[in-house]
Amino acid sequence: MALWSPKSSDPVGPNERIGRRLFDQKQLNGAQDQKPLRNVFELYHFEEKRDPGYVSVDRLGKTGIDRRVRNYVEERANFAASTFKSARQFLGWAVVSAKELQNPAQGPALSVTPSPLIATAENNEISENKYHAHVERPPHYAASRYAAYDMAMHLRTIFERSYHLEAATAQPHRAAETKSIRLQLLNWLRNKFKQI
Amino acid sequence: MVAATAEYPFSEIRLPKLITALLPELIGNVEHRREPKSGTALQVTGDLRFSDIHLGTLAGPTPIPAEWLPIVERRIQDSLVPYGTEINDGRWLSLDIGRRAMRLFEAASDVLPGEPYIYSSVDGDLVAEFKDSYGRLTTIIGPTFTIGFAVVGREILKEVVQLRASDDMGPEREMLQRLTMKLRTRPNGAVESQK
Repeated sequence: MALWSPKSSDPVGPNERIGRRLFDQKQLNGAQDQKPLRNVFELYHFEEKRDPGYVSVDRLGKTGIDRRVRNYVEERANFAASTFKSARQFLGWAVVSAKELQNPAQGPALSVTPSPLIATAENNEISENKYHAHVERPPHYAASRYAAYDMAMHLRTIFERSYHLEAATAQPHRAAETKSIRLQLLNWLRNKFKQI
Repeated sequence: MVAATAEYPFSEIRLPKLITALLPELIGNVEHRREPKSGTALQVTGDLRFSDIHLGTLAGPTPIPAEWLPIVERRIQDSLVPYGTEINDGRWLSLDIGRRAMRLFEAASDVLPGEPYIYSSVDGDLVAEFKDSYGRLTTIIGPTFTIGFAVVGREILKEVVQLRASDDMGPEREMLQRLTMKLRTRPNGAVESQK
């Protein structure tokens, strides 16, 4: 079966799986002893650096998570993790159906727009992402000075209401190291989101 | 710690006994004010009695800080950015933000739902998360603002307090108290009964 390759001109369908990448972030230096809240995403997962007015997401499948698409995007996500000023770990995705964003139970509707990334010469294929999309900030927030936080809160609320966690898999070139990291991350995610 | 003040009004009920008979040695040291704060002068005739003394404004009671306050203050203190650190990977808070956060928690720990879970936002602001009976409070402390988001059921309530010239954290405390009350109210409006 051919790989799902949506055109950038095609609108995002309501059943498409939309994933927001989760990267680890170091805890505050003096707060290493505190326990994270359960069933709660940290706000920084839904913020963008330098606030471009939208939030980046990945389209992970037409009606469910497509394994091949997921693997393709995961390579890009791992690469992205290594490009941060201080390297971070790609943990996986928080995934919802597009309709949860387009027609949320509360708050303004969010538009998901395809925005595929084209390969740049220096980084070659790995910088390409055919499945990249933007969640546009609605005009509803335009008047707010703190629109980036308004948007992050709105997104977090939607993702927490009906999320699926798609954990990252091990990277072959770091198999021994990542095997334990992956287990740790899976346990971390499971513990964090285990229903009380 | 912010000290609440209470006004003790001037009493118009006159006690039968003369003050001079009760505490003759003090009479010279007490400030006698024969006008209540409202400005309506009270005509006192005869000798001075205890009930004629206007006590003025007394400081107190002082809110009791939450047990978690010193722990959170220590966490913030140990997260203030060391001199010369350029890359912030989420481990550090700027001095401005750290100090504002400490002052805010000192002023409002008694009205907050419990011990906060704190971390840095992408922009370096301090995010403090609290959980309570029916929802969650997210407070963002920036260099010039404090934002409170209360998530109750499906609703997100937001309030913002801007930095002012005054050093007083009263408006921030009031905002957090209002939002915390929302978390203790069922989404349909019924208030949880006290057990």
